[in-house]
Amino acid sequence: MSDAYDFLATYLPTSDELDATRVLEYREALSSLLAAVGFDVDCSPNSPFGDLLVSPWACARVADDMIGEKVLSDLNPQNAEDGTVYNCDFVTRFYANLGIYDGTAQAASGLIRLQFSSAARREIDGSTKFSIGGQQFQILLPAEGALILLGSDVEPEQDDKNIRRYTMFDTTSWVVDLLVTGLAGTVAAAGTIVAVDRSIEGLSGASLLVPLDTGTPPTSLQELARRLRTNFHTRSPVTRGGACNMVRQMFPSITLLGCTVSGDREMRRDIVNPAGVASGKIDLMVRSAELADDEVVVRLVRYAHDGGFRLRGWLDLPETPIRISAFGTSTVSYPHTIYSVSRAPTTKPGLSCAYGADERLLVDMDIPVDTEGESLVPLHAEEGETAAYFVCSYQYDPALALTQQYIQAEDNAYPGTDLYARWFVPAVISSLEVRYNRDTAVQVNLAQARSEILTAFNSHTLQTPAGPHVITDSAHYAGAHSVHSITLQGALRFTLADKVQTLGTSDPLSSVDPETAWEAFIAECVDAPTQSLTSVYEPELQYNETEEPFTFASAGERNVSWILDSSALKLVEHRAI
Amino acid sequence: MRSLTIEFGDDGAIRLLPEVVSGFHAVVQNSLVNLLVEKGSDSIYDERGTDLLAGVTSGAIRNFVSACHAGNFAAADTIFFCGENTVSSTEDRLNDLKLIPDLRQGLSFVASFVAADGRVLSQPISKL
Repeated sequence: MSDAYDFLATYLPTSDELDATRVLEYREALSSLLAAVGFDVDCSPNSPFGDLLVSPWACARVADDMIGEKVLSDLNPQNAEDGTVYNCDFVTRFYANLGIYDGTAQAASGLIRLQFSSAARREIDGSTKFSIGGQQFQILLPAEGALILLGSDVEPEQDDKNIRRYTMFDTTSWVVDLLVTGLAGTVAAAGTIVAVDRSIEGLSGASLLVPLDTGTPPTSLQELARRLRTNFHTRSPVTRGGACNMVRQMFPSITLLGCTVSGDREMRRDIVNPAGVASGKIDLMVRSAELADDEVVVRLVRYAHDGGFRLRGWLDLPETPIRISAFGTSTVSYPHTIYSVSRAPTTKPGLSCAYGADERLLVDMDIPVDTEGESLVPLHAEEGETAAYFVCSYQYDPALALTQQYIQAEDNAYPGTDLYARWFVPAVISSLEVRYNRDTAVQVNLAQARSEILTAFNSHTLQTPAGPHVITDSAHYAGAHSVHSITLQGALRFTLADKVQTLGTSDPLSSVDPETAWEAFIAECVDAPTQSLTSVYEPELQYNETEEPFTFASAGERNVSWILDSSALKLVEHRAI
Repeated sequence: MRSLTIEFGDDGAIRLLPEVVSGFHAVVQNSLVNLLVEKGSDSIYDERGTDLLAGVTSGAIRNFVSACHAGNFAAADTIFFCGENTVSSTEDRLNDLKLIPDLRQGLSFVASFVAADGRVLSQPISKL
């Protein structure tokens, strides 16, 4: 018999563990049974039969029961998670049968940025090794074969898979961000130089974009049990929990996960069903503890418009922007209008693609001029076009960037399921004023209260919603006597764009009769919806369109996440009492 | 209700004899065992046993009065416990028990067991 099933050593209770009450119950039950079947023997305590046979038998029977209970306990991951394990060896092997074992420690993962001197077609072999933090990492490719890098307007060849497109970084370089995975536990900071094990033509630099997700391998049965309980049901993107588990397993550092599926009121993609066949739609929302900053150059082209000229161009950024902090030069931000266009209008119409890879943003702006009408930005004549270059500073979420590439992998795709990674609909708080009362001679720890409120709001989930109770509790624990009032101003931002192309599919930047194309595009656009927020209560976080034209925007408890900047939070003393 | 016969040897040993005892005699036998079992030594029955032997071995029983006290408490405990836990016919139940100490040759008791129907059985408990 295997040591894993050594009941005597692992499960047999000691005499101290035997519950006297249960022994007594068994003893009396046996005595009654014997009497009932006509066994006329005195089984009472102090009798020879009772003391020498019935009592020991009752003890053995209870011990037998306790063995069974301990085995059942070991089969219940809840108990192991709570720290009660009787036979570690058995539990480890049991979990292994269910696919949970140390060997499945998550790989470390990260986002590397490759910088090239041109946007020429390149193929990078899938076996290419990238050295980060002294360990070898590999690209996580969606399909078999090499990684194909193409310019933004270049058509792929028929057999091309794993296509990634360059994004202009500045006027002389183009970048591609890639998800790489490697040995769990590897630590490296953002900006770490990445070494490549072979020569790639035109590669001018490679660096780590965000700190590595170390993968945090499980080291205890408690951790294994926790993973079993959360992951065993499914790790495939076929259910709400399964989709979340799949991503959480790969990227344990993700702090916030949300999921909407067909039938949820927040899910608008399931409305469209052009083929008459409904497929499961799953939107997966992810959020990191902090957004990362990036800055790239964007090329806009001059178009004739209404007797004058305007600058237009796609805002193709290396990563999906969550916030755009500046658009202009390094010192001046110019007024502009952003349009939201879906790359897949049939499956992700309107704003149902917002904050995801399939939302393409387009910038339209006047040519900035000085008081004498001279352009403030250099205009360049290039390839029959007149173009200008602007700097776009934006924030993106590393978790979203990782997830977007991870779910593209063939291994993670599930037939009949349309999985889309996107960011939460941000509930951006522009001002949150908390007026508190304090006891005389009591000093309120404002830094602590501020930190707790910021953390709560920026990690708001369905299970742990942020609200007035969080503010009140934080103020109270920081020393305040009470909260007098909470004043909030903010808005739900369904997209970064000002306008949305709804169900139309016209190309706004068509080279054939650009003015007519633009007018047709504008006719398909409507203003992006917004919803003001005036309180921290959840009902305001819901948005459902009821009238046409539909922008396919939606908000609810499953897909909204607060954004509260430190500068927007004000803690004001109301009075000392 | 039948039981095996117990012989309490002079050397302190308890022996099982291949003889059957029943009725009030079985009740008396159980009560004798209970008198000599140390209270608290049974993990199943908290109330089983008495402090009689503990009093003897600890030296708490120094004279006739203390022996009477110890005997009375042991008798009360035994009546209560055996009354609660002995399965016997109504007329065979232990109704009363008296322990009369005798300090003439060491410490000994004469136990008088009274059944519900009035029968009395006396049993010496000697060489304590």
